[in-house]
Amino acid sequence: MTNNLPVGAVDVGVTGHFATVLVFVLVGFAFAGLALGVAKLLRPSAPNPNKLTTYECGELPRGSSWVRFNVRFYLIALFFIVFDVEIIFLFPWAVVFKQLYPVPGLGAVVFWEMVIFLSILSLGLAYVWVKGDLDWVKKLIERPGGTDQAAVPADEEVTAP
Amino acid sequence: MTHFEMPLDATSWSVLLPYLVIGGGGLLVMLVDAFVRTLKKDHLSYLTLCVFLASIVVQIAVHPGEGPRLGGMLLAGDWSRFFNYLFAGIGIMTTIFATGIYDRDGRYRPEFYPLLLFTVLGMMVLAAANDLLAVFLGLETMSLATYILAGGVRGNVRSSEAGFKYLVLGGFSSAFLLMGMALLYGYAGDTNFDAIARVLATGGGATILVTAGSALMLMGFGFKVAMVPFHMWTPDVYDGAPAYVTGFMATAVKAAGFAILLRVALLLQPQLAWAWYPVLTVFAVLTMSLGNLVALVQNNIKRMLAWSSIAHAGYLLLGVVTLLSPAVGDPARQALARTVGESAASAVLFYLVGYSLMNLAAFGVVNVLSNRGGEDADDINRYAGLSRRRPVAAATLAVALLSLAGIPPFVGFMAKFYLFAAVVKAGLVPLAVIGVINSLVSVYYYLRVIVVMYMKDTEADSYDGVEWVSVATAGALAALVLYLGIRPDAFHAAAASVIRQLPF
Amino acid sequence: MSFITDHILTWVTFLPLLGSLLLWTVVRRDDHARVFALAVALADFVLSLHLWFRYDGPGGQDMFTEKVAWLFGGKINYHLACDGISLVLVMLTTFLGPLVILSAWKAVTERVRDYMAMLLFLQAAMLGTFFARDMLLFYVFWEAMLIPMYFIIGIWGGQRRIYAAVKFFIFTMVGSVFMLVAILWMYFQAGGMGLEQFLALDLERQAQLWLFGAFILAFAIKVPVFPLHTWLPDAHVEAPTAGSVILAGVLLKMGTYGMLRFAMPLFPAGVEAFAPLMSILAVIGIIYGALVALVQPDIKKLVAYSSVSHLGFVVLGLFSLTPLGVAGGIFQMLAHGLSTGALFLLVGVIYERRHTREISEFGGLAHRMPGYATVFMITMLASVGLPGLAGFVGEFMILLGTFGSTTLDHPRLLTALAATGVVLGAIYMLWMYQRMFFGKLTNEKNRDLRDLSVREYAVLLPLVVFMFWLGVRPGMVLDRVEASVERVLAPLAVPASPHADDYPQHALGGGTADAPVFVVHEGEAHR
Repeated sequence: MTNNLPVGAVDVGVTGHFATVLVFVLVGFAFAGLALGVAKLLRPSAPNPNKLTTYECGELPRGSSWVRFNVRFYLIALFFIVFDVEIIFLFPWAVVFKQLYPVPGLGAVVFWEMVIFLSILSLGLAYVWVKGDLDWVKKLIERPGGTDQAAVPADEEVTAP
Repeated sequence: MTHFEMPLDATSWSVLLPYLVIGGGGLLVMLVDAFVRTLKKDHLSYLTLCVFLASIVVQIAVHPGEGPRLGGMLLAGDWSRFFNYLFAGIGIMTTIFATGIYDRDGRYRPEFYPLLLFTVLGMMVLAAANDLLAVFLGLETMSLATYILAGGVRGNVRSSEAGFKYLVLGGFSSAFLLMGMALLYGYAGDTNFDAIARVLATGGGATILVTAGSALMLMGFGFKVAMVPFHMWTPDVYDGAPAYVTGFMATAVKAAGFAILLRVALLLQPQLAWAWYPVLTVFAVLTMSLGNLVALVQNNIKRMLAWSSIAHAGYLLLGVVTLLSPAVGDPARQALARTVGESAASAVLFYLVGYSLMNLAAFGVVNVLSNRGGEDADDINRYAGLSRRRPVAAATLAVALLSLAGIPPFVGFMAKFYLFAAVVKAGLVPLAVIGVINSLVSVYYYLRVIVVMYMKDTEADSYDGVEWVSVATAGALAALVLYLGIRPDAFHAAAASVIRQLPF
Repeated sequence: MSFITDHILTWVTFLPLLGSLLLWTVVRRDDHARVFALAVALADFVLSLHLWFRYDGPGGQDMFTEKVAWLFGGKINYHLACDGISLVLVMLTTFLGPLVILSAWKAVTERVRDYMAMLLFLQAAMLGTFFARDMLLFYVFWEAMLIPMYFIIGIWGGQRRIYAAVKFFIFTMVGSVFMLVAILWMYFQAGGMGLEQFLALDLERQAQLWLFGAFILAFAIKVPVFPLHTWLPDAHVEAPTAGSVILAGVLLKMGTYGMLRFAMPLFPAGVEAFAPLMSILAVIGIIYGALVALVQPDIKKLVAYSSVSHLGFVVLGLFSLTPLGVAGGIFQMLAHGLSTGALFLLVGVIYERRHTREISEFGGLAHRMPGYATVFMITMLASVGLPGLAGFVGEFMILLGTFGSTTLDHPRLLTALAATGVVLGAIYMLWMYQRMFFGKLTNEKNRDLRDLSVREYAVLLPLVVFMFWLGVRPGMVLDRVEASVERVLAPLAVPASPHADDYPQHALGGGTADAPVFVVHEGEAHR
């Protein structure tokens, strides 16, 4: 990698790369600080208890915020992350795909790689779907093969319909 | 970005084949579980066994040659093949043990099989890794699946605790490892082992990066192999997880951890032996001593075996220490680097195999009983009179334990012999003495189980029923333990030839 | 037959092991197991007779050698061989084998199959230890021996069997693991594990001292030498009769055999430095063992402590470093194996009948059991060392050898102290015999005791015959042993005793002069 620099680039070394990152970080902080600072200077200041509530225009929250959420929410969150990550991988692939596609022998590989990646993820989706994990109210699946799903302990997060 | 390496050609496919078989097999098992409605309980386990066997067949049939492949990501050759066989073998045993339990207790857990296959896939990648990215990929694939396996008994508090504990601590250790890799990358400017080796050989640069990085990586690997002081999770997780998973973790995960630890130790040896050598010496001594001492007072056989597995990690670390020893101190000794390194590394490989055999034999028996006995099933005192009611199971466990204690003519003795021989060869006699004193201490707690099984009378609440497939499998392993204890040479020579392919 | 005689040592060693495997796998019924085990042990004895009659090494060299590459392409070998020293101890082992199986015929009723298999397994390991000429092979047999003995004591033993078994195991392990490190270290110096390669090493004095320490610890625990003896009474008392017989008869000799075969020839400087200490410990062991035996209320414990005392003689003889003393030591090993083995069998006989071993429970037994009393008397006298019986020759040679030793500091004082051990031995044995057999039959429970059965005679009479035979013809053993002793101890360059001429050789053997012995000894004396 180190020896495959683009034409005209200067080898700044590892420290050089990190210096770039540092500059980037500093500029980021400066930009955000500048925007907030300028806003602070320009806007009128009128503090008001309503502004400090959790949902300014919504209901008043009651009780502790340390409640246990139903595990379903986490499942949905997990699915979301799976698809999210999938998209993140798709973007860089899509960017270089156009360049790589014409290269003989490589185009097909690049295409099928992504197909395989996507199909593995869809297999996962299919698996949880069939297993009933996408149902908001999970059913106990009766398997014809004589399963012992009924033996699953009662304290599990399972609700019969 | 004008140059593109051709990532996949014919040789690459042949390198990838065993990984594809295991990974694809995992997906297949998963799908069959989900979609085939007429499935009997055993079918998934048969399918899993077929996948493992297929991967072995592929390994035997396809020889992709040696050296780094796939753009330097994986190391092909005997080294990876050796570990692939080992993992597939352990996988087969674990499948058999697990299946036996499902049949009996009625808690059918079909997701176990794909997870097992994915774990093995991760281990295979980890052992063959020739790039920091591949290391992390393999490690995480392995770990994520193992977290779920450890917590696999849904509704069992201890199993859930095991899975959770392993997950949280494992996450920490992965973070350390990743940070270490980042620092190492910062030093070398590359993630490929060969490139890193080149940079390390020239020396110079910001050595603080590589020192700190390697320390963090050592923590990460130390966690996986249960090295003191990163061992805290081990007893709880080994105790809480179902016995077949514990057996799997104690053998396969440990083997994978040592595979990569050896590779990294070899990689970093030119520049970091001075740091790793003293640190690992202390850790090795601590690991085996603490493991053995705490194992002395355990009443639960799984906890006892957990601490004993910590102790065995200590012996194995002794091998890594020996590997590093010629690179420090007297330059005259560096001439020994190759011979000492080879004997130490091949001793570690032999030890890993021997340890896997005897430990699986032990866990195979514990697994059957653990399942039959209710709440305190793993209490050692419940094994009273076992030799009368189940002579084969008791004899198998006895052979496994005697072998673990390092008593001839079992493989445990030969493994220790090769290991301590390498230690003494490197001139580290005090370490060898500490090692043998430790194995002496260990004799006591292994004997204790045998005492209970053979010399105490049956109590009223005994185990009943026999899961003969598991017991027969464990018995076959015990026979292998005996055979390799008497005729270890061919196998050790094979291990040595595997080592000779590695870069020193 | 040549396929047997070509590999005779392998056959002798592994026939019992094969027998034990068959017992575990094929034989099902208890009575079959007994007969089968006896047959195997007898067959093994017959095979070993081949060694006895065919061994004719005039220089005491190894014969029947078998050497096959085992590990590291020939650096470590499966190397068995037999010389005079191995020969007599092997004969003792194979001779006791069938007898202990016969002795356990009725005494053991539980898990007979396992018991017989363990006895045969033990026999194989012991024989391998005597034959091995490769250090790793020796170590493997040496350690493997622990497993069956541990089970024999732990499963079929008495009340505190578990304590005794674990203690036995741990004690023995403690010694041997350090020996393993020493062996490993020497392996890299010598480039191989062969005993001859080890002997060819020229080690520095400091190294020799350390290595000798590591070896001698292993062997001293096994013997056992005085401060390390505490496992022995426990193991003996708790072990079943057959276990005790093997323990006293053969297992303890492993320690003295190891000293003679390995520790002494390999490390001359170590011997030189440690011989005074070892001889003092030996003398302490002799006296201490005898004194403790004197006050034992339990017959078996008494015999156990008498073993400590008798093995002290052996160690003293070995470290006198005189040919006479060493040969006496070997003879004493044999004599002790016979007499103490027989004593344990006799204790077993009475224990089977009365289920007690308290001396005070008995008295006047001679009236009810004349045959038993007679056999007991002969055995006891052999143990005490009455001239004409086996025990005398060894003890006498040892005392003579010690007296003439030039390497020990105060040979005459040591001899005098050791001789008090003989006197004490006579006291505790005779006193015990008197309390048990003479006087009136006071205890009602002893009224109906049966005398020895045919089977028990069959077990005991061969032993008695050999006690006499060895007593009157010690040359039978000595002329097979002494050339080997000389050969084994050659590295020590034992100085000939300046006083050797002062003690005419015909003093030996109490009128049982046996020509070959003395010829060679005179040769020794004038060297």
